[in-house]
Amino acid sequence: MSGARDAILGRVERAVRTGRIPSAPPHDRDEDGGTRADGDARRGAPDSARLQERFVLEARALGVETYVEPTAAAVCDRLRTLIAGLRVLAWNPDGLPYDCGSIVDGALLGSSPRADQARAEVGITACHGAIAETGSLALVAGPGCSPTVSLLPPFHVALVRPEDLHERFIDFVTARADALAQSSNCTFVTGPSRTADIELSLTIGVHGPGRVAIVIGP
Amino acid sequence: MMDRKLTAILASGAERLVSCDLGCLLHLEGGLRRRGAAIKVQHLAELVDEALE
Amino acid sequence: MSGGFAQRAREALGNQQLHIALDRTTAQLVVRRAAGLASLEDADRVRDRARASKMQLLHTLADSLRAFEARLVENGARVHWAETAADANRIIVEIATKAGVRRVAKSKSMASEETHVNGAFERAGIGVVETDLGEYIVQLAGDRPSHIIMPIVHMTREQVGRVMAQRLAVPYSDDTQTLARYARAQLREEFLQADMGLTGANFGVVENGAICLVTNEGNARMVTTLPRVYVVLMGIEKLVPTMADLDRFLKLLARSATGQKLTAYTTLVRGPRRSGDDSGPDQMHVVLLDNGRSKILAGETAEILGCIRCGACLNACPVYRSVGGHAYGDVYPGPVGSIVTPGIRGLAPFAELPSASSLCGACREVCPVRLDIPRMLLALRHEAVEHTRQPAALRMGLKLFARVASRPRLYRAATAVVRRVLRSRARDGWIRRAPGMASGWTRFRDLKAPAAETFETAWRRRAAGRTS
Repeated sequence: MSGARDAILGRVERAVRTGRIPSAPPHDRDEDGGTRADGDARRGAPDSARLQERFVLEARALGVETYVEPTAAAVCDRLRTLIAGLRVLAWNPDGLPYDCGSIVDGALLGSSPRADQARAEVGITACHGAIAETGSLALVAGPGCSPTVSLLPPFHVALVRPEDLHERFIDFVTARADALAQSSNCTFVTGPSRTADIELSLTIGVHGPGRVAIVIGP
Repeated sequence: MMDRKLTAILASGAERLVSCDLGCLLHLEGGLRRRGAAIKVQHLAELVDEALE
Repeated sequence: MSGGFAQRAREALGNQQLHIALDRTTAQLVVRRAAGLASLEDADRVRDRARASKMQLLHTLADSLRAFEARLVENGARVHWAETAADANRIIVEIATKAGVRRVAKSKSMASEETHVNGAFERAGIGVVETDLGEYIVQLAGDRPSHIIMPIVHMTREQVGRVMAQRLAVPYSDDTQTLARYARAQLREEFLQADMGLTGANFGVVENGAICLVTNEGNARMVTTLPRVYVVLMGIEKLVPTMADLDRFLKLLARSATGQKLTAYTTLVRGPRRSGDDSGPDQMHVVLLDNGRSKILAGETAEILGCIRCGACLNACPVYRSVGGHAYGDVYPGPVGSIVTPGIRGLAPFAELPSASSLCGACREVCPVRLDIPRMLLALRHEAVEHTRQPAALRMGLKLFARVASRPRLYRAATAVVRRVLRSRARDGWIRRAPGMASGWTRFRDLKAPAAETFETAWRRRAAGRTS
């Protein structure tokens, strides 16, 4: 369909010559072509304790359960408690931090049959980044890290390391540009699945998990 | 739209309605009169003029 | 679609249930938006920059499209170009047929509403299901969406409960949690069985070819993860230059639409599944849709192509809040619809829409991209008068007025006559029933009688008094 392509591009090129497109005042443009985000100048890098505090605050405001554990062993204990008695679907165990892998031994994986994954009661993931200013988890699809794990079960548990924390979306995107370029799907999870379609009344857990827990380790 | 505005204006308990748009003034004062409301309707300039005298 | 805007608006005004539903939601959305923007540091600056980057993009749209296409291809997606809605539907159905698709799961997309792709699928014998809760209910009810982000803003929970009970054979409920659970159970099967996922795009990022989708429910994630074929249908204007721009637009979109800091799920799709992935589509197609957009770009309303479909102008608009979305007669309602609809469907059948506004400017005030909607509405009114057939009486009247108004003496004489006629009808300076052309005014309100002397004569008299 190169005919349509050329026709559309030709029309667009002619259109901008006659169309009334307001021109942007130069001071509103990014001086460096757009890589810089707003308000960078006055901001130093916040320390990790403050990042974590902000992240926890934002996540809680979204209705996410958050647990901050002092040791790797405590993280494992917390995880065991959270998933006790539930049918587990998980990222590949060697991709989970704090030596939690053994806890999910025998769990369903992203490579398991779809129908089995759909019956899981909890999904366990790590994360590739955590965004403090919005309380979001960044999950980058890849081998051993299937998006189905954080999507199909009604309950999602994510393990977060302090080094995963970034202040803003753009900080994460810049820092992990390589990982993003190698993946076909990156999702930012900001709280549980929700809708307000019916009379604006908040309803949790429509298609994705209605319950999200985040365990932050040392 | 006018009804909604008039109801809100009357509910506010205000004694005067001031605007600087003549169309709005004509429209709203006409509506207020039709309802028999006694609220005073003025242009901003009238209000300033009154205050200066 | 029967009658024009005026008739549909009259019907809507008489619909008590619609008023309850609209009042409950739009007022609250206005409050949430304000609170959301208040939580954004430097909100005005972010809006200025967002606007600047959109306008800059429109100036260089053809080059941006070529660059975006190249990145998509690098990412492993196939790119198609559609000049019209019918072309887009034909391309999409062809992709489906070639891949042996029997069921399609759709995530909410305004572009696909615009092309009515569902009908095209059905004619080809392919099943299609909407997966956004609101759109799903619209589909079950055989209804039409009435808001850009809240498709069933016109329905009460009781109405939703009745539709579900009837169509899904589930017990009636008016509890929203229960209703959402019904939909989850039904749609879960659809997600797992669908061979093809279809979405729009909230944004396409030129620098890396990422398709950005936001949903609160998670349906776009399902649709981009589970089916083996994935198709994106997007307007050619939905591009943003860089990820830094995307960051800004995401912040503005969520806050302006629902007051959230970020939508629950923001997904960036960069091509089909890669080797070693357990999930994701085998093939990904992107259909770039013109359907009148290049025509809009060439004219007075080019700016509207910067719209990010947040719906804030609908919630703020006193006309939308009174008549709802269906009165606008097509897919895009509210102030933005009054500009977009005539642009993509032609002005003649929608010539009334630009006049369905009091030009109060609330839409421009709340627009995250600061689009000058009132200016564009005026431009379209002008165009409507120039190029479409107006009623003979109006045409003659305007011509006559133009003649009279451009001859000062004649104008003074004519207004003196009108003044005298009107004053003769007044009591206490007010007219309850005006004659002739002014009778429309006094159907709902009184008319103030003209002053005894004109401003002009009063001014002269005062000036004379001062100098003497």
